[in-house]
Amino acid sequence: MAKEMIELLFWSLMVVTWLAVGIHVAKEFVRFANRGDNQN
Amino acid sequence: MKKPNLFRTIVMTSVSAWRRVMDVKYNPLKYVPDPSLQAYFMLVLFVMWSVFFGFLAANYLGWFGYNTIASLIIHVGILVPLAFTNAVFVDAERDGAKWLKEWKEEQSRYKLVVNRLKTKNFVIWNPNKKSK
Repeated sequence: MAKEMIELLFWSLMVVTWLAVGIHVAKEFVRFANRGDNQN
Repeated sequence: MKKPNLFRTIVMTSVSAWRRVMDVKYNPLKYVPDPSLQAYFMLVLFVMWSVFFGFLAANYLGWFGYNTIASLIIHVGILVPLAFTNAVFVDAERDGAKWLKEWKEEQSRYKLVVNRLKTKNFVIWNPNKKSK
């Protein structure tokens, strides 16, 4: 029981952390692509 | 007088609501001068409300043995879009985005007129609206 709970906590933190990182990177990508002085 | 459309109203309202509760730069804890104390009080409030809703769920709703994964997904599904919207606004404020200036000006113009009418118990006249 305790092992399962710790496992769930671990994977929750893993998913939430990388979800936040992924969304942040996507946001920065969009912001960079749409900026005024875009050289691409 | 242009009324801000529903999308703009919802987005602006959700960002200000988020900041009013979750951001110590905007919520009443902004008056606490020490950032570590602000963080401490935020933590205390977080624990207090978690326990409170935990008691509500257990005692009044009888939520024993509920699905933890579903609960996590629902919480993340609500919090992530709100935090993301706030992040977009933080970026726009930092970069001085044109759209944000326009949105804020539109909202402030509208609120000014609506609040003034409210004090006199008036409404904006719409000649195209059918009377009942």
